[in-house]
Amino acid sequence: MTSVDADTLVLLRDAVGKHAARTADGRAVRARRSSLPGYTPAELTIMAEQGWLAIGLPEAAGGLGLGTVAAGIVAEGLAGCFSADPFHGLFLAGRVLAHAKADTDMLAALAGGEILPALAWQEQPQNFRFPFSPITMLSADGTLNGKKAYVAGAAGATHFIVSATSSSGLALVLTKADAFGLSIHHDFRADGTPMGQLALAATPGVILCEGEIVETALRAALDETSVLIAAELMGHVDRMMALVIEHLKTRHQFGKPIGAFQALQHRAVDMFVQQRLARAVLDTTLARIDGLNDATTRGMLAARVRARLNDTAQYIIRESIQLFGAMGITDENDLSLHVKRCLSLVGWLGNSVEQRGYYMDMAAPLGAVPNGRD
Amino acid sequence: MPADTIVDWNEMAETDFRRTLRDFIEAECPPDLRGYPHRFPAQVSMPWYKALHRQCFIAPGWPVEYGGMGLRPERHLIFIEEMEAAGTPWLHDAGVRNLGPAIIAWGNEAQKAFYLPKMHAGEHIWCQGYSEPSAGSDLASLQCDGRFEGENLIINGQKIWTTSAHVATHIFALIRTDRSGKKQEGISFVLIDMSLPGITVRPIENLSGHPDFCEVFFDNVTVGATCILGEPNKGWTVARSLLGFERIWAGSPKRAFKVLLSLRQQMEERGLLTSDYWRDRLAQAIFDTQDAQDMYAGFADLVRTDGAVGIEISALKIWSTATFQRLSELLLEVAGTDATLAGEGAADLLAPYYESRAPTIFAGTNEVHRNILARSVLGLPKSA
Ligand SMILES: Cc1cc2nc3c(=O)[nH]c(=O)nc-3n(C[C@H](O)[C@H](O)[C@H](O)COP(=O)(O)OP(=O)(O)OC[C@H]3O[C@@H](n4cnc5c(N)ncnc54)[C@H](O)[C@@H]3O)c2cc1C
Repeated sequence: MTSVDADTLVLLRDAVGKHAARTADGRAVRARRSSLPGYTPAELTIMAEQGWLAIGLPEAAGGLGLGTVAAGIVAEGLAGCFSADPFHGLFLAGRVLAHAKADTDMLAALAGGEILPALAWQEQPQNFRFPFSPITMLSADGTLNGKKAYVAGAAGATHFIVSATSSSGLALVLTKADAFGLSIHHDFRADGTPMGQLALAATPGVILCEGEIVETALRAALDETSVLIAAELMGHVDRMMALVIEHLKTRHQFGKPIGAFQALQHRAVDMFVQQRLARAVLDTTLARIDGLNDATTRGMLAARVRARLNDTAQYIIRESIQLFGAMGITDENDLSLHVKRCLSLVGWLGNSVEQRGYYMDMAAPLGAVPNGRD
Repeated sequence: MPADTIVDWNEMAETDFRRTLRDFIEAECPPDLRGYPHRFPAQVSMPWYKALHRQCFIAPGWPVEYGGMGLRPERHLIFIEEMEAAGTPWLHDAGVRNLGPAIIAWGNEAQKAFYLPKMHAGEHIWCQGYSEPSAGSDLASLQCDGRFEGENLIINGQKIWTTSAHVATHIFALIRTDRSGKKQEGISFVLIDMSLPGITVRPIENLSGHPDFCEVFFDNVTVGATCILGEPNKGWTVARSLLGFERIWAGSPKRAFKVLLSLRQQMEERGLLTSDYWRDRLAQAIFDTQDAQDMYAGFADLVRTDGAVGIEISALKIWSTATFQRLSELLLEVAGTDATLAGEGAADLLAPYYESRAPTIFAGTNEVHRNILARSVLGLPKSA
């Protein structure tokens, strides 16, 4: 993957920013809670038209080949309209297909928004450890049996990419959403968007790939999507910070703006320090991630940025609510939309404890800790 | 100063530059002086100082005509990085580091000609006399008194926390020479020979047991008015102009990386790496440090493109110094009761603990940095 030139990224950031400013509608986000599929058809159309669905897909398959760095900018910018959905789910599915060297027609259809695949890999709430062996089985007759959980984008999906244990180890199997024996139950996340649980009973499917490539493809796609989630979290962190700093300047108590109290100034600065730190790690990661061929380096980088953004988001949420006072715990305050969205993201595809475990699994065999020289 | 072969250190390829420094350190820096988190007495580290002097490496930030390397800030950072990575001994170098650039910027020709070569050669060892018992963070309230008498300035009063004063030959001090106006406007920047009658130095032992800083007393110390750097009563401006580059150095995560290595080693030796709990704690420590490195590298890039760092750099100082402290505390946790023992050398678990107490205080306390960020970056109202 060649590096993307800086101007392209600037234009992209600008385009997403404008889109978010134009479409941000907290009332609509609230009204849509606990409904399917959790986004509007118009949002999906815009993402396809703008090329955002194609952004991370290889050029050979009709994609833009701009990589995770560009997708990260989209995800971060979409925090401006409170949620990047269904961007992550489609990116995850697209990347896993690309890494699994899937048929290019399918990727082209995804880039155009004509098919909406969803990756169904997870089965347990804490599955972020490799190697893993799915309980879902691919039988010799080519049918799937088992359960999948936490499938983002399941509502609205046209296809599922299912990881399963097969006679040759692992397989990725493509099924249609309306395939025989497949049923979906929807749970709703903190922000009211759905997450699917699949039950598969003698469900027919087509094998996309089998053997070692399955785990390679899954890990690569999960790492990249983890970075994307980190990028969206960064967008929420920045917006929560802007809200809270504004509040500190305008809310008066004891005859002065509360931001004049040094106790609060220092808390705000500590939040700023974390914001700045998270930004540095995200920038570094985005600049490096697409050029990495080595799975270990990539995984370690992804784990680190994800843990930093997870922790920063939680911290900024906690402090923001406190500094807002009672207004901080109202749903009416737009802060709440960012809070709920962050809560829907931090525990998905590896919370911080899982990320650190994942990192140590990779780092420990290397027998060293970083020394800051390279 | 030997300058027969002029090398453009800024234009040299970075890898060659680093290699030149590494080779030089390898050849010239006594191995038994490396890796210590405190300063040695001046005579012990002097061979290394002299080697740097001979090679014209002692004052990397100075212009070449004064015997410096003329390094641009980003190259200067690399220079510091290499020195820190090799664990070269801390020097009594407030002179070349802080005073030299001030003399070059503010000094008259006579001052430049007299002070710079001697400082470069290690003949003069300088210390920085700013802080006083009642003037710490509020430095401008300093009181150490200077009274003009004809051509002379008579100094009475006290400085404190003066690093290296017990080994120094000279002190550059901020002296109150006018009490009539705003407190920043009556301060002079004075260059003082410490062998003059009336100066007493009392070393102060710090937590780790090293006398690193001192009290300095002035009792009718008489210096010529030519010892004032810049104009009389304009010393505050001179002192302020020195702050820029120190700030990124103060936020270097290198010290935390060193603790990280000890942490890893201690956990391994104590068989803790199989425990999920300790693995998680180590991963947190790695992330905190590695993330600081990303932030540091981002600011170093800014130095490269803009030639300077903005006020935001305070965020790095706050995070790196706090991380250094947290890691040093984790090291004690890992060691259990062993952490109660005073050790020596590599087994000295308390050394990083002690060492990490100071950086949150010097170069502007972290609270003062928070005040600056609150006002200048977040734009919060003037503090209540
Ligand atoms: C290792 C070391 C070496 C040093 N070397 C030198 C040297 O060579 N030459 C020299 O001149 N000085 C030196 N210093 C002194 C250093 O510059 C001062 O320690 C520093 O400026 C802080 O002053 P103080 O120690 O008097 O603390 P104080 O200013 O008294 O501060 C005490 C506490 O109050 C806090 N505080 C103060 N004001 C505020 C405020 N407005 N808002 C919020 N909190 C506040 C501080 O953050 C700190 O926590 C050195 C210090 C150390 C630790």
